[in-house]
Amino acid sequence: MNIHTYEKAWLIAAMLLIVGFIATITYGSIGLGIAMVDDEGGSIDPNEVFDHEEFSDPGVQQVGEDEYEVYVRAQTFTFVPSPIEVPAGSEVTFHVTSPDVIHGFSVVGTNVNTMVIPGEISTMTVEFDEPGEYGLVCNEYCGPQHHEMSGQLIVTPEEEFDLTELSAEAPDEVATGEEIEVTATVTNGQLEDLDTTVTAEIGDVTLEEDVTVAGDGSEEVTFVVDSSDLGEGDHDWTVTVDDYEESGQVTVGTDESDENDDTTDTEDDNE
Amino acid sequence: MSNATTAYFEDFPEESKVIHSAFWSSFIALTIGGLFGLIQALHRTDVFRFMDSADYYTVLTAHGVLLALTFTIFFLVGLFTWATTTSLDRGMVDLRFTWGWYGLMVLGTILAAVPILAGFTDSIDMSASVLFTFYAPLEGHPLFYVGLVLFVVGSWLAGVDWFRTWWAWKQDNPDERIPLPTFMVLTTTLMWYLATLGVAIAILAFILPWTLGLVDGINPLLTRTLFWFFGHPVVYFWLLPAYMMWYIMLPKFAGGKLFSDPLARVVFVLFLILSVPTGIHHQYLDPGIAEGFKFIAMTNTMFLLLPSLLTAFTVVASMEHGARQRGGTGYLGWLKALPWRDPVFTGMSLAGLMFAAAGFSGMINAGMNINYLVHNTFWVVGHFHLTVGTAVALTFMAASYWFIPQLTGKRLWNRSVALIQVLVWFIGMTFMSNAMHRGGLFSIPRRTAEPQYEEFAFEAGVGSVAELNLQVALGGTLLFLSLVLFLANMVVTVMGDRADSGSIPANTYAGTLSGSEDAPLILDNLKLWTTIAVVLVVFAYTLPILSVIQDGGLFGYEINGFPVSIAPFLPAELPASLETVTAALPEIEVIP
Amino acid sequence: MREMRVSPEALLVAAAFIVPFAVEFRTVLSWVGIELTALETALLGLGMILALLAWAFRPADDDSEERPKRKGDGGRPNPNENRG
Repeated sequence: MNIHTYEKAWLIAAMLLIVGFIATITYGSIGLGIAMVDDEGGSIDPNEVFDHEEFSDPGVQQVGEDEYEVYVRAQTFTFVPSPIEVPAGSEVTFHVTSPDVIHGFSVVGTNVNTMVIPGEISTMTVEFDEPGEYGLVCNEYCGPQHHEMSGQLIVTPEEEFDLTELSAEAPDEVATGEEIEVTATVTNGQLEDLDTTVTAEIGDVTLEEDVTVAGDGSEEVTFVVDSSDLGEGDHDWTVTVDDYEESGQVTVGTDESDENDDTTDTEDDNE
Repeated sequence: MSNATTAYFEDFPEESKVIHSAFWSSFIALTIGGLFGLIQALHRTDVFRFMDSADYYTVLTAHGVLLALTFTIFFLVGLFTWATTTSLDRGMVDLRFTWGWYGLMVLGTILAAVPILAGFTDSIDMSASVLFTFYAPLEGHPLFYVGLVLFVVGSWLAGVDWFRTWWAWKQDNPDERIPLPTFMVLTTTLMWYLATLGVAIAILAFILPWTLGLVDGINPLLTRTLFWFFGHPVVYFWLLPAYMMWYIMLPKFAGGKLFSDPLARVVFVLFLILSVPTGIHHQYLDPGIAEGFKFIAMTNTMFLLLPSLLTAFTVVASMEHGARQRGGTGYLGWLKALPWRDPVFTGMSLAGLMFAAAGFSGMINAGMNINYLVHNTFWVVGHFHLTVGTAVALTFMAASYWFIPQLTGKRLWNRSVALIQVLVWFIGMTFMSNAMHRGGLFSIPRRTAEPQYEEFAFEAGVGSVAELNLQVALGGTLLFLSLVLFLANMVVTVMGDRADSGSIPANTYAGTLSGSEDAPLILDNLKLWTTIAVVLVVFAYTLPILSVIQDGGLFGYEINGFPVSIAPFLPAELPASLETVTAALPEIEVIP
Repeated sequence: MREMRVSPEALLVAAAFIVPFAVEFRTVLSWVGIELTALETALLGLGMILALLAWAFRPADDDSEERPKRKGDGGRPNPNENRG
C-alpha cells in the first residue's frame, strides 16, 4: 500500500496526539490523583434505602480530623438533606444513592458530578478550598418534575463549622409555686470535645452553665426556676448554645391536674 | 460503476422507488423531530412556553427517537441500497425482500411513535416519555420497546439484503476487489450487527419481560451498560453514511478524485473494530464500574480519533485536488476555485468543517477525568448537535439535493434556495452549539425543561445566561427555518414534472487517485476484521458486565416501573408526586 | 458591479463563515481578558461582513494581473457538478 508522504506525516502526528492524550489523562489519574467514581461504593437494594443505617437519616458526619462523610439520598424530585453544610479545607466524602430511578448529582460550577443509579452507591471524595454556596442539580432525566430537583451545598469556613444540635424541653403549664424545669440537650457530632455555654432565659431570669460535650456525644443541662419568681401569666423561654436557639412558652398558674402532662419539645436537627 | 452515463432511476427504476420511500420516511421524521427541537429550544430557554413542563419530556423523547434513530437510519438504508446497487452495477436480489424490510422498519417506527405521542394526552392510556436512552427503571409502554425492536430487525434484514446482493455479485466476479462503496456498506453493517446485540439483549431479555410483568426485577446498571454497548456505536452508524458521502461524492463535486482508496478502506475497518468496545466512555461517572474498565474504554475511544483524523486529511486533500483541477492555485487560493455555488458541495463541506469542531469537543468528552466537568451538561448537547445534527444531518440534506433528482428524474426546484438553506443551517448551528457548549461549562444541565432553579443561579463566564438562552433560541429558530426551506425544496421538486431525458446528471461517484489496486488484499478480509472486532468487544465488556451482574444480580432488584405506563403515571399519580415536591420545599427554604 | 471579485454565491458562503468566526472570536478574546458584549460582537461581525462586501465589489483593476481568471468560481467547468 503506498501512502503519500504528507499522509504518512499526518498519520504519525495523529498517533502522537492520541498517545499524548492518553498519557496526560493517565498522569492526571496517577500523578495528580484525580479519582473517578468507581465500584468502591458498593451496592445496595433500592428497596432498603429507607431502612439503611445511614441513608434512612442521611446527613453529614465527622469521621476523622478534617474528614467528613456525607450521605445523600437522591430521590424523585429532591435531594435529602438539602442544604448540605460542610467545612472548607476538609476531605469530604459523598455517598449518594437512589431509592427509585437514575438521577444525577452535580455541584454547579465544579467537577463534582456523578450518576446516581438505584442499586449502586456513588462515592467520591472532594475538598472545597474556599467557603461559598453552591447549587446542587440533578442532571439526569428522572421524571416529569425533573427540572425541580435541585438543592444547595454550603461550604462554611472551617472555624465556623460545627455539627452541634440543640433540643430543649419544658412544661407548657405549671401551678404557681411549682418549679419550672427546662432541659436542654446539646449533641456534638464532631470528634473533638465541644466547650460551650448553654444560656437559658426564662421570663426575666437568665441562667448560664458551661458544658463540655464529648466528641460524638451529648450532654443534658437542666435549668430550674421557681414559678413564684416569675409570677402568674405566660412567660417565654429561650435556650441558646452558640448560634442555635430553641424557645417556647410556659404558663404559670392554672389548675394543677395536668401540670406534668403537657410539655413542649423542641428540636433543631441542624438541617 | 463510476462511468455510468445514465441517471440512477433509469438504470434501477424499482430500487429507486424503495430508496425514495426510505428518504421520505427519513424526511418526515426530520420534520416532526425538527419542529419538536424548535419547541424545546424556546421552552427551556424560557423564551416562549406554551405547554406544561412535564410535556417537555415527551417532546424530547420524540425529538431524540425520531432524529437519532428514524431520520438517520431511514436515510442510511436508502443510501446504502443506492451504494450497493450503483457500485456493484446490479439490482437487489429480490425486491420483495427489500420492500419487506422497509415495511418492517416503518411498522416499528409507528409502533414506537404511538406510545410516545400518546404521552401528550390523558385520554389514551399510554406513554413512553423515557427519552431516547430509556434508562430503566423509567418505564415506557411495551409497544415502544416492541417498535424499537422491529425497527432494528428491519435494519438487520436490510444488511442481509446488501450482503446477499454482494454475494451474488461475487459469484459473477470472483477475482474482483469489493468496490469501495460496497466495502463501506458491508463493514458498517457488520459493525451494526455487533453493536445492536447490546440493545437487543437489553430490551428482549430484561426490559420487555419486566414491563410485561414476566419478571419482577431489573438491574438498572446492567440495562444501562447494555444500552451504551449499542449507544456509542450507533453514532458511527449515523456518521459512516456521511463519511461515505465525503469519500465517494464530495471529491467528485469538488471536481476531482478521491485521494486514496486504500486509506478509505483502512478507516472503515478501524470503525468496524473500534466502534463497539468504547461504550463505557458514556459511563465514566457511573458507580459500580471499576476505573480500569473505564480506562480501557477511553484508550479505545482515543484510538477512534485516528480514522476521523485520517478522514479529515483525505477529504481536504481530495478537495484540494478537485480545486486544482478546476484551475485553483496558491497555498490557500485553491479554496476560491471550489464550486461554492453548488449546494451539494457547500452543504457537505460545511458539515465536514463543523464535524472538525465537534471532534475537539469530543476529545474533551473522551478524557475520562475531564469528562466530569461536562458530563450530562448542555455541553454534550452542543457536541452532538455538531455531529449528528450537522455533520450527519447537513450532509444528508445536501446529498438529497443530488439524490432526489437521481431517484425521481425531476430537476431540483431551486438551487439558490438550497444554497441558502445549507448556509442558514450552518449559521443557526453556530449560534446554538456555541451557546450550548458554553452553558455546559457552567454546569447547566441537559435534558431539562426549566434549567432555572430556586436555590442558585448559573454564572456565565462571559456574557450572561440570558444571553446564552437567546443565542440558543435564535439558533434553534434559524435551524427550523432552514429545515422548512429544505422541505419546501424537496416537496416542490417531487411534485414537478419529470425532466427531459438525459438532463439529470449521470449516476457516478468519485474516481480515485490511488485505487483499490494499491490496497492490500487483507483489507477485504471481512471475516478477519469481524473476528478482531468481536475479540475486542469480549475483552472490553466481559469483565464489566460480569461484575455488574455479580453486584446487582442478573434481574436486579424488585423495582416497579416509573413512570408506569399501563397503570398510567399521568395524571393519576401526578398530584401525589407534586405533594412530595411541595413537602420537600420548606426543607429546601431553610437557607440562612 | 458587473465584475465582482467572487461569485455572489461564494460571497454568501464567505459571509456565512464570518458568523462562527465572530462568535468564537469573542470566546477567544475572553481568554486574554477582553470581554466583548453581544452587541459589540454583532457590530464586529457586521463590520467584517461590510469589509468583505467592500472588497468584493471594489473595481478589480489594481490587481487584475495577479488574477487572470475570475469568472464564476473557478476555471474550467466541472463536468460532475450537480446541475440537477
